[in-house]
Amino acid sequence: MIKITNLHASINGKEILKGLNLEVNAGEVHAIMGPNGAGKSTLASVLAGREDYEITAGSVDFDGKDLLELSTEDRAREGLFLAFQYPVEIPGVSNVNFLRTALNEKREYLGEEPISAKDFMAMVREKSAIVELDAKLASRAVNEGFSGGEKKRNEIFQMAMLEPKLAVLDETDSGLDIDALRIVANGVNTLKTPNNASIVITHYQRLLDYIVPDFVHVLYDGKIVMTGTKELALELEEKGYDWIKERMEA
Amino acid sequence: MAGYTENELAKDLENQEYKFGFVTDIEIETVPKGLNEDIIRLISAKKNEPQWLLDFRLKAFALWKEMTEPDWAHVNYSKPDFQDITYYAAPKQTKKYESWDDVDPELKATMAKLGISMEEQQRLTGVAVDFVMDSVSVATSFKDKLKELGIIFCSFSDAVQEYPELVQKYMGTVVPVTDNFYAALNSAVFTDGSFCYIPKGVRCPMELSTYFRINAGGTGQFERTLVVADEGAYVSYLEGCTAPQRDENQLHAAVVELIALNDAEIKYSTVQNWYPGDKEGKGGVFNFVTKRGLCETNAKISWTQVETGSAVTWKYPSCILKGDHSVGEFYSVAVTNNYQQADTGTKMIHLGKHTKSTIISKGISAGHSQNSYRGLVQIHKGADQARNFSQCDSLLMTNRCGAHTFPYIECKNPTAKIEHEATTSKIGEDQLFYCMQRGISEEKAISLIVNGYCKEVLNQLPMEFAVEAQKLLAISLEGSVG
Amino acid sequence: MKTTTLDSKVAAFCEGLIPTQLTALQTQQGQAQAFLDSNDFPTTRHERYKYTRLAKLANTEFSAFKLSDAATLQAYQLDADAYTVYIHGAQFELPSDLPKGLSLTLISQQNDAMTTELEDVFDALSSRYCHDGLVLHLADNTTLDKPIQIIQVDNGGKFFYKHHFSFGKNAEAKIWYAHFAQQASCSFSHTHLTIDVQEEARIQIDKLQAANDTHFAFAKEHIIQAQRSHFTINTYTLSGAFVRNEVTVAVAGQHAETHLNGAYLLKGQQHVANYTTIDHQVPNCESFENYRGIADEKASAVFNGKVFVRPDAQKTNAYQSNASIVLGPDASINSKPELEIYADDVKCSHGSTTGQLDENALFYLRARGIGETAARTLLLQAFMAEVLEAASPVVQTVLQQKISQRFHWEIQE
Repeated sequence: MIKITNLHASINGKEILKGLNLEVNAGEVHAIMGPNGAGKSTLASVLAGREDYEITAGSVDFDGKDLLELSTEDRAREGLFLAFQYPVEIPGVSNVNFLRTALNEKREYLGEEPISAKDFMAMVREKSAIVELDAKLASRAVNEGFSGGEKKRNEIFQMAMLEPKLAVLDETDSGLDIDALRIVANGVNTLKTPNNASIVITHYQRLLDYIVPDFVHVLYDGKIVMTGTKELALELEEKGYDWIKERMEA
Repeated sequence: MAGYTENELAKDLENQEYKFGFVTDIEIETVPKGLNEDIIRLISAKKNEPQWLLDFRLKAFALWKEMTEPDWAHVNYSKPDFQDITYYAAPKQTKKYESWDDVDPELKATMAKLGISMEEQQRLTGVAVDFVMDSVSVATSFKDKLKELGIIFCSFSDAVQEYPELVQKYMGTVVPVTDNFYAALNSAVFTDGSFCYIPKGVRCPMELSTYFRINAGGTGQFERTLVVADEGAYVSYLEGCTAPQRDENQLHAAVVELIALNDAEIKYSTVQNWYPGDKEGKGGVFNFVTKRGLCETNAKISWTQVETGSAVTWKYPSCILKGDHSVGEFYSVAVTNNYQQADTGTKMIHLGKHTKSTIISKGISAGHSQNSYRGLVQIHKGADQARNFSQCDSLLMTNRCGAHTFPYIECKNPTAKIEHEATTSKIGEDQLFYCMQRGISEEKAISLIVNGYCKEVLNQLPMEFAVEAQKLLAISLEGSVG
Repeated sequence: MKTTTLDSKVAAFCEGLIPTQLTALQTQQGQAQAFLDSNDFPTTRHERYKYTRLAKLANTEFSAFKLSDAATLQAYQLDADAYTVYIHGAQFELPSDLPKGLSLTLISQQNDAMTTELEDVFDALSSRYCHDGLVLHLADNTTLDKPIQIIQVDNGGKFFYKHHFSFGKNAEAKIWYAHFAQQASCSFSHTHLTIDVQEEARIQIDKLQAANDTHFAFAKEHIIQAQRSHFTINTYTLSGAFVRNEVTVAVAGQHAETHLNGAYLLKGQQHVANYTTIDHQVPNCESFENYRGIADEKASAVFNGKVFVRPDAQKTNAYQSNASIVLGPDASINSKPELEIYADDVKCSHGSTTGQLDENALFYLRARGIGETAARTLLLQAFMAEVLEAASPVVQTVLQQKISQRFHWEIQE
């Protein structure tokens, strides 16, 4: 699905990713954990194509395509979805209008016919139920006046609508209470198929109780320094990130 | 990133063509160029006007000669040569059309190109249209149906002939001939326009609409619109404008007067798409317009405008809130691109007690354009409990354009409350990135965000107009990428 | 009152004034006189005088200057401990015990030519009739241990001053400029102050205008800021028949920060106008402006604040706020907050509110047993607090006393 090889990225001349390697196959859930400043959110931004970052070396293969050569919107149309840590408010643009535009642009890119209004609305109803999103929120402006939990649920709702191959969840658990966390995780689990994959970026182990990963990677100082199964997450939770730090500096 | 860059967008904006830049090839009857008393007498005679109207014109002309062109607006242009303008140009067949079938096929074709095919409109939308080409009102649809309700909707010239007492009673009462340079000029030379009267207690069942078009070269368009809503009446009035693409600047100096008597309501919507000049700033319409409404007790006037055209715009649709409990509203979107300059806003004059006004202005600047909001909120001494809220936002699309805000807030009453807020910012990069991460192209994302940004104003427009306005915004900003 | 018989009101105003003898200004005399010969006082048709009628100025009979004794002047000082400069008519008294790095001299002691751009009649008058001015210089890397208080006491006459302050790199200082007038005098004062703030300097100026109700005060401040400097000017206007302040800040160095605060508390027939311009010339700067005021009785206040962002000044953040309360039935407030923006990557906003005290808050206080007058006073104090608190503590104390006396506000604990 995605193969990241020796990825180096910097912002304002400061190197954040320092040779990152990661391979994710269809049907897998990977968790990336790491202390603050390790480069977790940078990885998400770089994959989605945020222009602030400069890629200085490395390659990313996304289902046979050179991801780094694609524009942000084409990456999305190819099936890469980023659930934002801080979802953006777009005043005056309704969620429905926003999603319909996104969906149809993707269909056009793939050479498909636009979705009919009827099918679209049926889809909205079906998918919003997955994250228990109030139907009223669908007609409100994108994220405007949404609570923290609603914003995150809206991200997963959009993910459900756009049906990506690969979803990157950037600290989706931050700022969520336990109920919202359960709903969001449940949404992600429901959307899981043998043909798609997820990268779950998180600081805490908590989320992984709900979204059980096949692999857990530890990102430290711009590199994956340790890979294991979900037990690694528990070990990290217990020993703290200082444990990694000590091991790395030892 | 290999995507569509902001620079490319800017280039596309520059290359965008004016969709309405065609010339209609029909025979035009004109008077000689230039302005003097004889020309005014000639115009008046051609229109078979009563003496009082000729006197009105001559008085205005005498005053105009003493006035100087205003220069306080934040715009820069070479002043028109008033002797180099043709003040009367009419499609030659000036006899009134008895029926729609009599209208010159060329003219009908023009209207079709403008997307306002009358048959279509008559059948489908039920919008009554008065079409003003150059100086003369061409056809007014739905006249008979309106007549049944006692509503008068006709060309200004017809109104002068058929309802002289109404015209004489209200004309010049809201915008006096002395008001300003261009209003005085209009008062002297106006050739046609629209007139509308809604009788007491009548709610006009359909949108009334005027379409203005400058066609002949070297002409100015000086139309006058007078809308009177009698006590308790309601009317929604739409105005659209286009002009062909010409190298020289064309002058449009209109006067619009609205009168809302006790408990009446007038909604006046404009989608202005005069030719803005080419991407070098050559040509385009000078749009110097005086629009003002008077509200009597408990009356309401609401102005909505979407301005995307004109080389230079100088326009302040205003409300005089004379009666107690009267309400004035101004909703505006002004888009400028290339070398366009707009200085637009409103005046809310609070005279009566418990008067209320709302101003929502959204300016969008692109290219090398300059876009200014200029507004006056004036609370007079007797305007107890007057309220105003103003929100003026500006969005900048490039680093070569300008966005400016010049509000004047004057308060002479200790029980009034006035709130004014303004913001200026660039289109949000986070918003663009978010849209693009969902697979939406940058161009479409800009259009989405801009439309969202203008929502409050677009929501005020009647349905058919809102769609047209959104398309216009898209054309003005999106460019012709595809 | 006298009636003007001369064609020009300016010419009438100049009668009896003696052209300046200052060596530094001699080169500009011809230009200044020519300007006065060809220009009169601006009328209300002039955009910047739209709300100001200068006829009053032209028709006022100013009392003759009377010299006050040292003890009288000393009574006006804000803080006995500060470095004190007295300005009284053409008399300047400078402190003797100056710390290292601080120099205080007078224009009359300098020979280097000094020219002023003549933007209006008052600049020309000032150049033609200037009496003297304070030249303050604070050396690089100097932090003043105590504030400098400039105490100006007017007692009749028409006086023009040109001051120049320069603050070296990384210098830090607080300056208080307090303007008073002796009771029963009718004076005119025009102050032109240029301020040069060098890199990384941190400067705060508190201006207190508390003359008497027959006083005319015109003040013009031109500030230029270098990079990473931090400049604050707080303008507090209490009394004065006619006060006009024009503050222009040219932000010429990157990462500079500018604060402009102002308060005006007016009554009687006072007319007070504050014109401010913040000219963002370079990228990455921030400015914050906050003016608040009340107008009681027949007073009129004008606020005209302009934020100008030049094409190169990307990443500018500029915030401006003006709030006024109209208290008196014959009072008026005119507010014109302007933004003129030529760069796109900026965040600029302004807000202006004009109104009265919050009736709900008033009701709430009264429901808690606070009398209406006390409740109003409390709310007015709360309304003004934000800008008053920007002043140095000593200035704040003086302000509170003066305001309480003037508006019969009990100081609430």
